[in-house]
Amino acid sequence: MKKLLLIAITLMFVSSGLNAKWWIFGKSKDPVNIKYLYINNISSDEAGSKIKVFKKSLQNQMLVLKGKVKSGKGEIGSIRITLNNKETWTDAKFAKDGSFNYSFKPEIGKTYIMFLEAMDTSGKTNNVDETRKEIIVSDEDPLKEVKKALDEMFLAYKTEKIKKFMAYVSNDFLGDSVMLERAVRDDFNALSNIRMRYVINNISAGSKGRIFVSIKYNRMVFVNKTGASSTDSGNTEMVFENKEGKLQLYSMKRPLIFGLSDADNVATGTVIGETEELIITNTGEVSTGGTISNSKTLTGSKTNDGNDLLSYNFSDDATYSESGNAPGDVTKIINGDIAFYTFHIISSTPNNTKIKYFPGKNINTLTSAEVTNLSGYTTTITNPSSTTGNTYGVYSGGEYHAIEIVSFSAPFPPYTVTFKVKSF
Amino acid sequence: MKNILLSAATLCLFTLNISATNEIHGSNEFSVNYNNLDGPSKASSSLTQGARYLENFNLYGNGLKNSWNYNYSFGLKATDDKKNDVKTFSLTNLNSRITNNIHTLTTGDVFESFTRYSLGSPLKGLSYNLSPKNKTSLEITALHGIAYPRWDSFWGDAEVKTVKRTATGIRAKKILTDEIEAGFNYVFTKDTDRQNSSDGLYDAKTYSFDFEYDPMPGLTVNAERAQSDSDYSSSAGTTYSSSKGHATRIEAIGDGYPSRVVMEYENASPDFISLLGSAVSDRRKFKSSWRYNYSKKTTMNWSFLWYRNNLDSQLTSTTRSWKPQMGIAIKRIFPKRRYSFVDFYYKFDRQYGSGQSSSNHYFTTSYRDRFGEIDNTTNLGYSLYKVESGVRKSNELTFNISFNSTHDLKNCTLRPSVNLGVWRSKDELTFDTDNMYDYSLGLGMEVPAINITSQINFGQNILQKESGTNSKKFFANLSTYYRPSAMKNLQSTFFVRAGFNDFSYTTTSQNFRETAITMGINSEF
Repeated sequence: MKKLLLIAITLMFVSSGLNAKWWIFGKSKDPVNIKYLYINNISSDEAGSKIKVFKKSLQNQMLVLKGKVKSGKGEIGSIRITLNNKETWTDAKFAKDGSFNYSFKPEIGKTYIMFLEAMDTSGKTNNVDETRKEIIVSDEDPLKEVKKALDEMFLAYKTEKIKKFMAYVSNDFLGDSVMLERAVRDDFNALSNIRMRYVINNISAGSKGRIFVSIKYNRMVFVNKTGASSTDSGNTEMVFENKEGKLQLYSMKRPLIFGLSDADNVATGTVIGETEELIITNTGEVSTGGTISNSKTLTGSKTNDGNDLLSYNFSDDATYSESGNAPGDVTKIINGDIAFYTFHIISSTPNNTKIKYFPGKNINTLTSAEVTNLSGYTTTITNPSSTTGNTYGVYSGGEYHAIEIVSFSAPFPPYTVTFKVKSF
Repeated sequence: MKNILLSAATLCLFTLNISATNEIHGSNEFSVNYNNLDGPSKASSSLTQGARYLENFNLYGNGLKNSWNYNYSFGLKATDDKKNDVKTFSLTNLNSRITNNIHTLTTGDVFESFTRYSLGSPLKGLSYNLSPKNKTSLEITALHGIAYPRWDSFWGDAEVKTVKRTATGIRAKKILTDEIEAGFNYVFTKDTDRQNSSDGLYDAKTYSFDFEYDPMPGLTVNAERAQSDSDYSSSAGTTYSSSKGHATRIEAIGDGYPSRVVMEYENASPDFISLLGSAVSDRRKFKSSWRYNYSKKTTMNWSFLWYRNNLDSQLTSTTRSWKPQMGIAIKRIFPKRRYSFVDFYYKFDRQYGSGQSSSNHYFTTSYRDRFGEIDNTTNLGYSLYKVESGVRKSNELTFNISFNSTHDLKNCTLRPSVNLGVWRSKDELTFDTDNMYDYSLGLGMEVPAINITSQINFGQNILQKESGTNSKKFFANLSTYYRPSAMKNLQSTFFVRAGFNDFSYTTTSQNFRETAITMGINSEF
């Protein structure tokens, strides 16, 4: 933390002392410059070169430009604004400190080409061309705009047009646009005949021009690797932001509808109550994993032998009470994939099961990438298997699962173990 | 719950009645859909057999009373198709807002974005914002509500019920100087109403401090530091366990022609929890990108992303990833060809640790041009996947080419299009080579005199696998939109959409067909 603060403070001092814009390789700074500009409360820096303003967001039907300009040495002498590509200019009212306010009643549907010119008392001006913004005032409501953006994204994804798809993803995408672009490209290599449709559950327009939408989706895909189809449906949530004159994707939650090849990195959060999702593994196959079961409780019926085992089979969700001879005697598990024994959790040799302990993880935070990596999997894990909250990866029958211990009555029989299962 | 609904409804009614000068707008879309599923594997379809309807209604209004602006909106949805929604009737949005540009009160669907780590999710509740006229004064936003994913979660049955996540938050922001603004954020969430015994419940607090610094025009530095303090119960009957985590993010953006440079550093500890914000825990990340406009025709892009996990050595091993990429885009690459455009990208993915190692390479190039009246786009991609050891080793080639044109005739405009594509995958572990070929033809038509637009597409996709089941999918789609002049005031559009999909496999028990027809009307007032 101290180091980070030190870095931040150093960066602030160093950058403030620079005489040139280092990132443009030696270009000199302008004598008059714009500190900030808000167009109808949308930051012009964040919005890009095009800004779409919804009629609904106008104040008294007026579009308001607020900002502040600063001169290197002298005072600001004039601020002018053009809305028709420099054909005509209008003076804006400004205060001594350079802050200004300009409002006009826009024509709905019209595109305004705006430039701003600020001049100090010595006659020096800002770089006017850098202030160019296209302002469009739309009478469409945000719901329609969201539907339009979603329709375009769904179409681009279904027809596997990566550039069209990424045109609707913000550079500020929280899951990282670089990761999403690669994940979607991998989706296109892994899938074909993508068919998806959605219905909006909930929509909410908020601050910073962002719009939240919750949708119910239905999807059918063909998996190139296997040639089989896969169908799923669920509820997911996305946030869009107003950028470059349109709504662009800002964040997505799990279950994902785009970027299934890298769900752990692309998504930020999981929709409450949604536990099932489709993902693409690193072998290009589809896994309909992620279903967290209700807690399962296994109770042993054999109480006369301290070596009894409680075993569980993932494929048919069956539990068994079996006789073992010793903690390491995994060959005694005949029916189940895994078994619980005193302080141990052991795997079945006949079923070629492997297990791995993930300290510090629970079933919600354990990722598919972690579970599906076979490194470190073993046949027996001793203490602390009985500890509540311990979470394990299980590989059995070619499938991956995670289990989290809810309670375990070890060390003395009859055992009772309760745990949750998530399949990947 | 009652309080939220009451306040939202009261404010809605209040805003409807405070002035006669308000504006009210609405939109309605009603459609009837008929699906016919056929074939031995028709259960594979994602459609519902038979006739179903879908109705969406939205109303929003705004107005002015004295110095107070207000607006409100609500939406309703009805459907009998369980694949569209488990509920027949549902409320899609309910919101009202009243402001005098200093005080703003919002109720119903409230979506305030504080910062990345503290709050970026909507609530159903209320929020208050104080933005003093003097921009250097303290700006305060406070909110309270429930993070239910839908309104039905309040009153619906088990199929729409979820854990109840109640949240309270406050943000205080102040412009300190012309160059610096800073904010403090606090969000408290409490989960109750476990629906399944396996539902995990959190009690979590997130504190964060953020600032933005603009030392010179075009350069912005922003940063956030957050602390989380959470208690978690993994399932019914289990006691809460406590954890504390932290996250830090610093970003510098330099934006001025001819370059845009972004550098970002992020560190989120394994125990950092952000239930209403956004963070990937157990992640240290560095990212940089540089876009350089070499000339008006040529743009170059570089970016580099690196990240790792296991920050507290809580795992047995660490996974590290790095992803560089570079690209170039050239407009008018052939000086005499005005519409010629080419781009080329190379991307590399490297991940290693925890007993695995993968290195994937991606090469893509595309060329666009116009030949006479025909626009052409050609894309070529080559991907090399290698996941050690012996998990995956394959290369994939994708190629597609499309031709589009526009022809203005006497009364209509025609837009024909042709798409051809090939995908070839060679698995070097199984020595299998799979091929996929697809084509599609389309024709768009616009008849402005009678306000009709229409589009028809059909095509086929053929997958040939060296091992496994081959398949063919044929599709045909038609959509027509008609906007009658007689209903101009309502801005109504009638639409018909029809689709046919035939999926056939070498294993015929997998075959199925879908026929779908949708008719509807969309109106705005």
